[in-house]
Amino acid sequence: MEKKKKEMNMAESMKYLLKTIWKADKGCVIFSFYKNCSEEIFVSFFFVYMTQKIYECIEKKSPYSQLAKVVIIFCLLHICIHIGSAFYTYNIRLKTPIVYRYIFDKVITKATTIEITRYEQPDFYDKFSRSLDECLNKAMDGLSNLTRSVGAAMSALAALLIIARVDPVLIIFVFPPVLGAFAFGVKENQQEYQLRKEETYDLRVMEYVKRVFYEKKYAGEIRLYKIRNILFGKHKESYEKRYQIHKKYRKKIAFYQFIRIVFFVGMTLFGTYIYVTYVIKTTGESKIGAYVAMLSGIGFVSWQVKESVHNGIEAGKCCLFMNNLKEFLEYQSKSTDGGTKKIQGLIGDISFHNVSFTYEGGKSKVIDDLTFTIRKGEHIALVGENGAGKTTLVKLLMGLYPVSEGKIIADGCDIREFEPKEYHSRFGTVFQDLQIFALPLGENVLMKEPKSEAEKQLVIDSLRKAQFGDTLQSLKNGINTMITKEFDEDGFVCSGGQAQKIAIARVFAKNPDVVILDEPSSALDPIAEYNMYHNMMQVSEGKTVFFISHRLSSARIADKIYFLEKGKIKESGTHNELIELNGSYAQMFRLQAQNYQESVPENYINQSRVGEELHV
Amino acid sequence: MCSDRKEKLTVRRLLSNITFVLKYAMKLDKWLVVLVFSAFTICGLVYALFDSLFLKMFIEILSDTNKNLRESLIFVLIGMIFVEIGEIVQLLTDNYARARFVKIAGSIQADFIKKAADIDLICYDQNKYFDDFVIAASQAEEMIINGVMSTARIIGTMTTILALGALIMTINPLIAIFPVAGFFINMITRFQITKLEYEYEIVRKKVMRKADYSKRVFYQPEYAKEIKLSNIEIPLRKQFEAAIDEITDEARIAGRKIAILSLINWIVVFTMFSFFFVPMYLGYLALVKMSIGLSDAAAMNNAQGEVRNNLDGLNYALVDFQKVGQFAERFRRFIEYEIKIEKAAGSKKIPEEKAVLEIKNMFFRYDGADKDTLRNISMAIKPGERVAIVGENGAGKTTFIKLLMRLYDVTSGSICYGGEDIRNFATEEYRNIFGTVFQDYQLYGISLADNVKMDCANEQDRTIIEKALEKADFTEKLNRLPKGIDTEMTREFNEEGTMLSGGEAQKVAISRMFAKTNQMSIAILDEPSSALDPFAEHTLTKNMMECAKDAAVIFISHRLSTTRDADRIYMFENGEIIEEGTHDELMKLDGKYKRMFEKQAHYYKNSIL
Repeated sequence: MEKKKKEMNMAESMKYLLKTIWKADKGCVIFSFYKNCSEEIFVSFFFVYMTQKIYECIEKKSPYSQLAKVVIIFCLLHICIHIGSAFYTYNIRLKTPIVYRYIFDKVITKATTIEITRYEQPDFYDKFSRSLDECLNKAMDGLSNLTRSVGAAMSALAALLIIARVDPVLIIFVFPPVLGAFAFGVKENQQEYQLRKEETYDLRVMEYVKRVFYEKKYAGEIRLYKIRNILFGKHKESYEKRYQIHKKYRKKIAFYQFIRIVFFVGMTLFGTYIYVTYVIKTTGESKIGAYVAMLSGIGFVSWQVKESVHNGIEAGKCCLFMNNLKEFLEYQSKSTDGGTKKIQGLIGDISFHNVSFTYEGGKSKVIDDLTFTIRKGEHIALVGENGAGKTTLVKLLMGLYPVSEGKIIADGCDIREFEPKEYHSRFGTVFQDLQIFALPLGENVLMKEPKSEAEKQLVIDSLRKAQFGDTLQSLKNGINTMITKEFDEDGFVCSGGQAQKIAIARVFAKNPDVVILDEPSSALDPIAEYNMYHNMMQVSEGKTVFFISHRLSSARIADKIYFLEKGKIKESGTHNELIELNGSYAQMFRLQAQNYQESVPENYINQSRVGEELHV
Repeated sequence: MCSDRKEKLTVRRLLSNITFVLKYAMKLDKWLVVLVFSAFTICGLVYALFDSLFLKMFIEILSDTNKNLRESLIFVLIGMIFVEIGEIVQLLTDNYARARFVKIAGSIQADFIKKAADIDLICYDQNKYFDDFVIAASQAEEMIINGVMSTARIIGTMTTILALGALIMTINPLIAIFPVAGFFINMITRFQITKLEYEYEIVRKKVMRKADYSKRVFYQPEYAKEIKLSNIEIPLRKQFEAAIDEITDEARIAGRKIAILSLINWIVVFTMFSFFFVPMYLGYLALVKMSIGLSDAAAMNNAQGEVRNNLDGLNYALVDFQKVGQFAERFRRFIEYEIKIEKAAGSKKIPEEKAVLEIKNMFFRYDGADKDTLRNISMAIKPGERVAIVGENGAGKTTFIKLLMRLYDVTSGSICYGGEDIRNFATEEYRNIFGTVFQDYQLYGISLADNVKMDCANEQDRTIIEKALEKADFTEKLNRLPKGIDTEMTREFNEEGTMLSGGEAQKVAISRMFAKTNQMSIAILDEPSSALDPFAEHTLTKNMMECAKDAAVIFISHRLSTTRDADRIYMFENGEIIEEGTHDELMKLDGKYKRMFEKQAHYYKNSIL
């Protein structure tokens, strides 16, 4: 039952593969079928029919001209087939990029509509990221295998016709290998498949251990601790286990091969030779040439049948990859029904109304019934312990996550009613896990190609404000410098701090309505950090700014501080108000501040703080 | 990128490399190598003789009216049995060898990683060595399997060609000309085609990397946010389209040349030399000169075909041979690399008591660099002292601590522990005195307990590990883990593995030090709390200091509040110590440290106006 279901899937995915490539480029499909079928069918005439004719000529002592005629005609035909194949070789190289463009254009278009929450689910990477990488190669391999399988089958049929013309009885001998190929060849393949499946885990362990030993980032710890002992052990265990798995399956596979080759193929071998000997010896020797030619003909047919089955199975394996592509392209995102409303002017006040958020499949609320309002132009600091929900809150605000309950209102309008692209464009964000792209520096800052002089100047100014000025000066190609060594040997590789500065420059260049800074300075040294904040505050006059930082010195310059704990706002107010409240924020601030202030004992600070603040 | 680099090897070196590979394989599994070699020879001979000699005799028997049916059948049966034996030998050897190769590949990989673990760290910083590592790592298994297989193939095909050659010689030596001539023409044209394909492949890889990168960004989770919030989609798409256009143009030029050359190759080698000249010549011999009969013609036809196939096989095997030689070159260079620091046995014993670590006029320069990374560093750190290293990004702080742990060796000057140059100690023993939290700590795909212990954790270790995690403020998370400290970390190869957040992972890294408390005489903390919130940072810093109370502590931090209580602070700039002293002394000095401290302290002060 289950097997049947799998075959259905294979047939379907084959159809999907052909349909996809057909839509991308009709020629690609037609050429592949043409090439493989014409070549294969001709081969059977060439090998079986021509050999028969030549042997017959020699045996019957026909005039030499007759033999020459046969050979010349076949060779001319052979050349014609070659020309077709050469044409294919040329074309397939041209067509492959076209198919590639078609498939990935669809993937890219789709990818931009899939919601962030889906990306962040753990299976996303395994399911899509890994398989989409291989998708094109698999598609083209699938097509090539499929056409070869069809070609081999047709070729076998053609050869059968030729054999039947000599002696229909010989056809019987074709069946055992065909039967063997279908019954046991398929079984062999299943075993191979099982083998691969069973060893996957151990193979991954081995690959992982190997990687740990040659990747630079692990090198220091490997040398300082004795962790190598565990990893050596794991590696040994894995390859021993793989060996056991292989041994187990190889025994089975050898058994099936034995039956298929020694028994079924052997039966035909014995059968045909004995039959031919019998016919010739009992009926006279007039047709030795033809019969001998047919002996290799039958070998040829069983070979082609095996090839056809083998290629068919390989094609099926490749086609299964198409399932991932299909699933990706047909994925129904939940929040694609984004609104259409345009935003008038700058985004004004933003308010949260009983907003809650739970991750799909998560048990507890990450954001729990939040209600608050942020006035336009306010500078807000979000503080709290690791995992309090600070980053989730800003993601909800930007519409990257859909709220589970409640609503977020901006300018008196539920943010779900805005056109998503338009709404997103209003934010300038530096994420904790910021990404640098393998594009020129200018494009990394402006997020598009800087064309006019003004745009180029904007990029340079933004980089300067982000404290990247010194580095920029040392770059020979200025803002045209390629970032990362991905494509350019001379590309610039950023340190953590430099990457952060580029990401900050993006915000300066974008000049958004709302600025969001999520731990923007964790890799910066104190002076760079100070200057960055200073500049940021200058340019965000009148803009709404959110910042998240563990360094509370930055919270102090905020108009309002929200202290989050387990998805709820525990405290809110200005720095002075919160210090006066003497709650968690005050405690946190004091912890960090004590060493920056004059050397006074901790308990003294605790007592005196309240009083001091009153003076301010 | 670097693997495209062509390496020319002399024939002698190539052969020496192949010998190396074969010896290696023999060492791992002598019988397998012998078995594969004999199987290839036997099977090659059986099939070749079946297609030629057997066919010839078969036709002769059929045409010979003196032989009756019974005699003929016996002859056929004997021939068949030989073929069947060949088949059986082949399939058994094939399956057996495939399984054994898994084991051999595993052993060579094990040899590789054991060596990799001992290679001096400095090699990782040098691209030349590093490329060799990675390439040797990825090719070791392929190298050994291909080495054995291609040698077997060469032996097999050579034997077959010799046997068939002898057969052809007995009938008509001229026939041998066709496959040999075809072989040479094939080799020349194939060589041109392969060269063109190789060149195209290099261009294709380079161009497609751009296209691949641009499209991959769209479905990699880590980029999703930026894609959504910005218009970076536009330049990425442009890069993608440009790459596709470029490769299409390249394909047009290369494709035309390759197609034409292939056409010539097919017509000349296949059509002319195999299917035209041979039948025409054999027909001429049989029908015009009447010197051979059908049996000889058929046998000759097949024999020359077999010779051609075997020559082709030899051609491919030789290409493989060369590849194996090149793989082996890198592998040998790697395995024969002389280790300087790691595994050094040392002539002196590490002092039992905690001792002073003294750095005298130390300089350090990376190989090939044009300036020193560290210049003239001197300091002495006594047990129980707290020393802070501060400075801007890139000042050389991390390199400095790597030198202390002897991950690198000093270029000049010295580091002494208890008055003895650290180069006189056994490296492993010396490193054991350190408890370190790295800035770029890593978690491994093993259990949490092992991740803390960084060695095989046994039963007695469990309480130590749990205590260490508790001190690292990890208990709350630990209670939520499905299998406690036996929970597997990362999803490297286990879908059920646990992924930790940045802060949690840092806590695990710190707990490694807590688990090592007893043996540790120097603690090194490189930005240990960058991902922690202030509460956790406070608790952990306190615990770390407590845990290291008798040991010397060296710490690096951008948060100057944590360095304030240090016994001494060293301010690094461009690889030199520019200021040193206690916090108060440095503040009095009114230099760079003061400026840095005040910038950071600014907003913590009581009034910020």
